[in-house]
Amino acid sequence: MTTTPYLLVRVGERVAALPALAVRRVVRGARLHPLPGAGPGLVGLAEFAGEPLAVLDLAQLLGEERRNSRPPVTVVTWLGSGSDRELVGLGVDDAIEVIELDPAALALGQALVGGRPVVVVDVERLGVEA
Amino acid sequence: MSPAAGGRSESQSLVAPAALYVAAWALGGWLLAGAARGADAPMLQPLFHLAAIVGAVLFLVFDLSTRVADPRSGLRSRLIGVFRQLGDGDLIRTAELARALDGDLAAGVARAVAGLASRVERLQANSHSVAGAAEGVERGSTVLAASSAQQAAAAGEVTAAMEELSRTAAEISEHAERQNQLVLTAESEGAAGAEAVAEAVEGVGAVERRIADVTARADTLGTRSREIFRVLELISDIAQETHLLSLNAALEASAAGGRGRRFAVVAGEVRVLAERVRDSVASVRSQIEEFASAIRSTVVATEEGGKEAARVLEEARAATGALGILRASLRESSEAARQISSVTRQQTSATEEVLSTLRELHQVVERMSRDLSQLSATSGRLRSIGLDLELLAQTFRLDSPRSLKRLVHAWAARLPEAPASAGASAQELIDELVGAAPFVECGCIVDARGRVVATQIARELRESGAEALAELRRRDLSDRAWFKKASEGSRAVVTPPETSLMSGEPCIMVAVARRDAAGLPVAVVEFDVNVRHWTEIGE
Repeated sequence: MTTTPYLLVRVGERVAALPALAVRRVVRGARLHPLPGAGPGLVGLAEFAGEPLAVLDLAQLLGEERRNSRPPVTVVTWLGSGSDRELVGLGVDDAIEVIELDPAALALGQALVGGRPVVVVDVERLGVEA
Repeated sequence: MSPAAGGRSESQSLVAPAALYVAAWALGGWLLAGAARGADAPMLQPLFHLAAIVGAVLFLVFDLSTRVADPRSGLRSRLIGVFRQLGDGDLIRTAELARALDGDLAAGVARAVAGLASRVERLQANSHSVAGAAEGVERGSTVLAASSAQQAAAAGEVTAAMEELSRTAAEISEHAERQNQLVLTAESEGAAGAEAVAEAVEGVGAVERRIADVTARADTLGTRSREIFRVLELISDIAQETHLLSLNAALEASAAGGRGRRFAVVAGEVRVLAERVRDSVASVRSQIEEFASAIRSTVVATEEGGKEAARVLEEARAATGALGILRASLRESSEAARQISSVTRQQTSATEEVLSTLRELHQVVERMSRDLSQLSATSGRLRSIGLDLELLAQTFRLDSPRSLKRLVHAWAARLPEAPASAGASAQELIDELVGAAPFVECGCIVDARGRVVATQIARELRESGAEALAELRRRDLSDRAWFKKASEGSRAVVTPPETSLMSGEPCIMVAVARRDAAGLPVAVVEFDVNVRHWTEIGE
């Protein structure tokens, strides 16, 4: 069978897997400008390749409470699909590694990696609230 | 009265004077010998005079008897009688008989007799002087003996005191010396103690330096570890970046599909590398933290140790200070002991000087004592010579209050012809006679057979001698020397000192026989003069 590369990231206590093909770049120590009045998921605005980049808290998107106001690692990734694709930054605690996963895991929404449960994030379906 | 020597023949008249002449020089020689045994020359002059006069007189006798060999036997026999009396020493009788001679002869003999009598009296006076001098010497030597004994005693006391002082000084000196020794010992121990303290201080100082060293090193280590931490941080950052790089590379590789596989492998290795670096960094960091923590606790302990060492050092310094004070006071004490020792040594030598002077004094006193006892012996001999001279003088009967023979003759003359029958009057007489002559100790009148008729003793002895007197009255004195001698002739006798029956002491005994008209002895009168009182004779 064919496998698909995923990027494993740590979000709080959990490990999440993001489709590698959607990830543009992993960046550490990006400067985040906070936007007052912004929604809870929005951590701030960063700059990437000369363009502003909205950085979201992946932990909140996965339903966890915001713990870290400044996630150290930003995963620059395409959210959505097709022409609605948008480049955003996902704030995570750490980027671990790129691994190959069975695509069926995408449908399940989780997989076992090294015995540990991993949340597979479907970035195409992930909605963005502005 | 002596019987006339009528039986002598003419031929003997020359022999008799020659014999007298020889006898006179023999007497003179004896006197000189006797004087040679005695004391100083000034006393001997009367003796020489006497010998010369006696010799001259008897030469005269010889001369006269050869010239006067004439038929005038009356004058001759009168002369013989005169010279016989002279020879017997009875100068009173000689003078009486000389008056019966003719003119010049009488005058010449009278002059000779007077001269002889005066020399005998001078002899007596000199014997008294000798006795007086002896007494003076004895008194003087007694006083000297007493004072030298006192001096000796005083010197003895002073010597004892000085010896005591000397001993005490020696004890003090010894004590001070011992003290000094103790101080020296303590001083040397104190010095050792001070050295020990100094070593301790030195040791603590070394410890402190070590501690400072350690602290400095710890500081250095701390600084180094901080630097290491910074480097580690740097490396850690680099590792993180490398990790991100490897992730991004893997992402690119996955986007490149199949062509990116080899790239993905490389990216994976880089990621592994980054992880290894991260692990190493963590390990190093934890080691360094352990190390740093160990150093910190070491530094703390060391600082504690340092404080402790500082405290010990402080105490050691205080001890050094106290030791210093102690040693100073020990040195003072030692100095004081040395001074005491020196002073007592001076004292001892001064005492020694005094003691040696005292010993010399003692020797002088002893010599003086010996001289005094010789002097005492000499004075005893002088007294004895004086007594001898006196007895010699008493062999003459002189018309002088000092002549004992004259006195006893006077007593006998007052006796009645039959004293045994006179009884009470004899006792009265003897009482009066003894009372009148204070130098007479005891007097008695005995009959021709020697039985006591009457007797009396000197007033001061009547109490103590009453018993002896009663004893005497009952005795037969015919065996006494004076009785026998007195009974032989009509001359008074003076005996040398004999033991008195009365007092038991040596006495000169003077006696004479009282004869009746027929010449038979009827009584003997006798008195004792105690040798102790002979210088009072005639007073």
